[in-house]
Amino acid sequence: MSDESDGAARGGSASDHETRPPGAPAPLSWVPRVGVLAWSFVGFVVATIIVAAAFGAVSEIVLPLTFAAVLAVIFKPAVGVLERHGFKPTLAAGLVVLGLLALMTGVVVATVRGVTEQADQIGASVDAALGNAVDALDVDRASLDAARAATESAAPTIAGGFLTHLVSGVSTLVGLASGVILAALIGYYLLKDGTRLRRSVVAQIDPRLRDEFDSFIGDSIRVLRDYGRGRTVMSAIVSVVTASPPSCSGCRLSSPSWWSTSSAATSPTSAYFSAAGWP
Amino acid sequence: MIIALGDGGLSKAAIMLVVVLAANLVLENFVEPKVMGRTLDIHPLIVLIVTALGGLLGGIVGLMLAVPVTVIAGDAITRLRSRGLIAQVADRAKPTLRSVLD
Repeated sequence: MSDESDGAARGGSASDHETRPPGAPAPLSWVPRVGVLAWSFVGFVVATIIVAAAFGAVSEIVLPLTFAAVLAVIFKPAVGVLERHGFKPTLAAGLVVLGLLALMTGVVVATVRGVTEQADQIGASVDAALGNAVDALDVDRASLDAARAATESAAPTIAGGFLTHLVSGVSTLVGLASGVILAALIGYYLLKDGTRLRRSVVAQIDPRLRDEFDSFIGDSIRVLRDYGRGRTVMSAIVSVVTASPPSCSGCRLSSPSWWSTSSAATSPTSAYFSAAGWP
Repeated sequence: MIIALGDGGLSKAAIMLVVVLAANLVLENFVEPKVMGRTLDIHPLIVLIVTALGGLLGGIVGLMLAVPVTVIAGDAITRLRSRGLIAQVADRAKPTLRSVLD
C-alpha cells in the first residue's frame, strides 16, 4: 500500500504528514466529511435561491404554466372519459377547459354576489359593532368625534389613494385575466397532447434510462392526482366547517354568503372528483 | 367576528374569535397534515414543515405546491440513489472539496 492510500485509510492525507509538525495530534477523520457536507449544503441553498430567483423573474409565465400543468394532470382522466364516449380529443380537451373556466367564473360570481347582496346588512352590523365596542371600551365620545373629523378632512388624500389603488387594481385584473387565458390555452394543449408530449420527451432520454424516467413521470402524475384528492377532502372539510357557523347565535349572515364562502373554499377539483364519484 | 360583535355584543364576539381561531388552528395544523400525509404516504410533520416553508418562500403557489413537489423530489432522490448516481457524484466531488478544505 502506498503512503497516500495508507494515509487516506487512516482518515488523513499525504499532505497532512507533510504539513503536520512532528508530535502534533492527527486531525479527526470526520472533519473532512463534515466539511464536504457543509459545503454541499451551502451549494444546495445557493442553487435553490438561484432557481427561485429565476422562477420569480419569469413568474408571469411560470405561474400559469404550473397551474395549467397541475390541473391538466388532475383532469386528464376526464378527457379520457369523454373520448371513450366518442368525443374527439380536441373537443374533449376544449370541453374540460371550458367547464373549468365556467366553474371558476361561477364560484367568483357567487362569492361576489353573496357579499354585495348583503352589503347593507354587513354595513349595519359593522356600525352596531362600532357602537358596541365604543360602549364596552368606554371610549370618550369627543375623541371619537375628533377622529371622525380628522378622517373626513383627510378625504381628498384618501380619494387620491383610492384612485391609485383603483388603477393598480385594474392593472392587476388585466394581469390576472391574461394569466387565466394563458393557463387555459396551456391547459388545453396539455390535455389534448399530454400523452404524446410525454412519449416524445421520454424518447429523448438515453434508452438505458428511458423506462426509469417514464416510470418517474408516471409516479409524479400519480402524486399530483393523489394531492388533488387530498385537497378535495380538505376542501370538503373546510366547506363543512365554514358552513356550520350560521347555526350559532350571533352570526346572522344568510345562506348565499355562506354558500359562496364554502364554494370558494372548494377547489374545482372537488367538483371533478364529486362528478367522477370519488371516492 | 365583527358581525357577532354588532349583533350579540362582546361576549359573542369573543366566542366567535375563539371558534375561528380554533377552527383555523385545528384545520391547518392538524387535519390538513394528517389528510395530506395519509393521501401521499408521508409523515404529517413533513407536510407541516414543508407547507410552512413553501408559503414563506413561494407565497400561495409555494403553499399549494410544496407537498407534491417534496414527494416528487423524494421519489427522484430515491431513484437516483438506487442507481448509485448520488454516490458517484459525491465520490467525484470529494477529492476537489478535500483539496479546497486542505
